[in-house]
Amino acid sequence: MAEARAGYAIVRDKDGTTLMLTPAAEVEKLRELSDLALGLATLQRVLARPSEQRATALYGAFAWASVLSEADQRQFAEELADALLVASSGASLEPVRELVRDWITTAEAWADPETRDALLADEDKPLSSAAL
Amino acid sequence: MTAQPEMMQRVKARLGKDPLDRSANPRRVHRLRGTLGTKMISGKVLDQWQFELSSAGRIWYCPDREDRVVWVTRVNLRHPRETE
Repeated sequence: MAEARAGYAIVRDKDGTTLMLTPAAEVEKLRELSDLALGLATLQRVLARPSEQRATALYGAFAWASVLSEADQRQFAEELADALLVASSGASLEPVRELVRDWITTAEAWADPETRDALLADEDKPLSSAAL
Repeated sequence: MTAQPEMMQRVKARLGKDPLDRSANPRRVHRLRGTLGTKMISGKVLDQWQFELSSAGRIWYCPDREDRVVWVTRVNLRHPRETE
């Protein structure tokens, strides 16, 4: 059990089946990492198509990203790839989750024309303080 | 804002104390990315963030770390998806 807690332990069943004991958290992390990598592969494949041939359904788990601009879709794919590489080297998955949540939030804001215009507008006049 | 005075007081306290802190509730504080990730305010390029006021309400803001000011850039008490 100590070996399993520290990483993994191999056990063999009576019928010869090899089993691996490992902390559940590690397996869950690998599953999440796998799902995210699959999502990234799907996104990269759709980004290889001309923009007029990209149906929302082709984006798979990242369908929400279809509302983003071309440049932002590519930036999301690059940032996700970088974050996954770091996470796969043994680091926490939380930065990847945070990145995806940030981009989902960005896509929601982008999808609303009034909010998008307001957030894009530069404020070149001095803003005034206001009591909330 | 006057329709939700208690909520806005909580938000004011929250953003005034630590506008970049996600630890209390990572699912309610987000930094915008890409094109919306920064905003020019009075000649300064500042990161743009969003705080989820409630299930429907959102507030967007740009913290100026140098001047220790938080500029509120938009408040929406109704989530955009409700209109779809």
